[in-house]
Amino acid sequence: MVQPSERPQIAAVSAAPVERNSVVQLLGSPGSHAITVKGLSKRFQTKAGLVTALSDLNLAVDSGQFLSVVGPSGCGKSTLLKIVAGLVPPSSGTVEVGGKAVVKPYTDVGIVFQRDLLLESRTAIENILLQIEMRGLPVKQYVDKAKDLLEKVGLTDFSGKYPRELSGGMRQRVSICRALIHDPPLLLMDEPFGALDALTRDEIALDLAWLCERSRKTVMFITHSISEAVFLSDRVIVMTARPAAIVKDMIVDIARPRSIEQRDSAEFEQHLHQIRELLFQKRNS
Amino acid sequence: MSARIGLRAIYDSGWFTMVPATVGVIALWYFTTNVLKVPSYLIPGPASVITSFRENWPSLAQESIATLREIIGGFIISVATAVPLALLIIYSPTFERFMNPLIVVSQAVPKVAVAPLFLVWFGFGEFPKMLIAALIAFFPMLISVTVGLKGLDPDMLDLARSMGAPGYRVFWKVRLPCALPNVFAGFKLAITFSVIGAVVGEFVGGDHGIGYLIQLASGAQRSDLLFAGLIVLSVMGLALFYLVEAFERKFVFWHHSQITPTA
Repeated sequence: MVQPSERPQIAAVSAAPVERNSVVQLLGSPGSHAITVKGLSKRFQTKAGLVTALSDLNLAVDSGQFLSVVGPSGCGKSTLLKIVAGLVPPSSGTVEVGGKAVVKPYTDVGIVFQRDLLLESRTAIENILLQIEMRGLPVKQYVDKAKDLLEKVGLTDFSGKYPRELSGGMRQRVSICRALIHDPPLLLMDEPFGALDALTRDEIALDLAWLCERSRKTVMFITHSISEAVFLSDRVIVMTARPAAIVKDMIVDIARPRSIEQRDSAEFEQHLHQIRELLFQKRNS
Repeated sequence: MSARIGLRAIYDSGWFTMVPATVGVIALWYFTTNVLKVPSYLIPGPASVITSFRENWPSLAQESIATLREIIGGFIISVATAVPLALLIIYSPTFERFMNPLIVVSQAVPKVAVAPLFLVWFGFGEFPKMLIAALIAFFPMLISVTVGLKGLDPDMLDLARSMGAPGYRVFWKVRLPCALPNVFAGFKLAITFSVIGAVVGEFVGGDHGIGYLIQLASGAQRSDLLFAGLIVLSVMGLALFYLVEAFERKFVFWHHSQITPTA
């Protein structure tokens, strides 16, 4: 994997995040974007009856932490993300972001869904700037930043292209740029690479790791790929369906910045193994 | 090389198929009247229709302008009522529940049969014809526009909400652009139906317009003039349709329906 010459420099910048996080926690600073989920339950009324998507879920995510949520489909992980974003109201329980209760759509955030949700009527760069327009911010001041982001994901030459002219991977990269342009302290991603082929997934995962390592955003990343979760995260939680519960909470203490080669390391394998074993046991029991 | 690209362009533009098709229809027409000798009061020959055009062009032009006014007036009225109503339906579930049965019922009423009533209410001017045109164009457009605006991806709406945009901005920047292909499909239906509506109005009770001229010609057994009127109407309908389509190409150029496959 050839990495741009700038990348190693980022290591120096991101060397101190653990310290910084602990200070932030200690002071409980207003800039903190920790997520606190308490006693969260969500039930849906369907034709078949009442379905419990989440029940009595507790979770605390530190500010600046990259958290992955892994689990089989239907375990309520997407619902959890939407509740944290304030897009879906919980049946009971509370969600706090940065110490404030989330009761309506939380806007200090960037969201990426599985589908890129680009507007076909806008070029790549216009799609990124939609975020700015929607917030009523001065678009002109963000054009350079949008170009900068496009460059970082290798799409400089595609800034004027319409979504239909881009491949699936390129489209999702644009949608990630759209989620980052306003520099949100919180990033919510719901299986963002789910619709992409394996090679593209790895590439974008690297891009994302690189973008996030610099900025120390709080990230909640939902995926069903265990290796992707371990590769990207500071912490991985594993959820199961019926009962919807967190069955594993694991800190990934592999040094950053991480390279694609590390995915073959014994340390990496060991983390994967722990999660796989657990999911496998659950399925057989 | 450039000659091949030129041919390709001609083929892609549609002329390649349109010209032979038109020539074919005229040839068939000529064959029916001049070789098969179908009597001219049933189908007048191309030559007599051309003569009729030459002799009657001032009145044909004058009447077609009247009809054109009615068509465009009807189209505008239908847009001006269907679009706000579609918005109400999108944004108020109560209103939608209230409207749905009304829409279904009014769809079942044959609008053509309502035309005489409009003449009773509004007299014989151009306005009742516009109303009939609008009435016929209204429902297909209302349904297209509503479907388009309603069809916004729920995840897209969630994304827009997370951007903290006020409702009107979500509408202008996200909902409307996404609905444009459907909105234009509705406009294209509406302009076609407006032509029908205007002519129906003129048939029922008019003292001018191409529909009136066709009725006069029919009464006088002047089938050459009747055909001339029909051709004027078709050309007018076609021109209006392409005008709307030109606007569509300008505003919805990014949609997959607008892309002609090349190579």
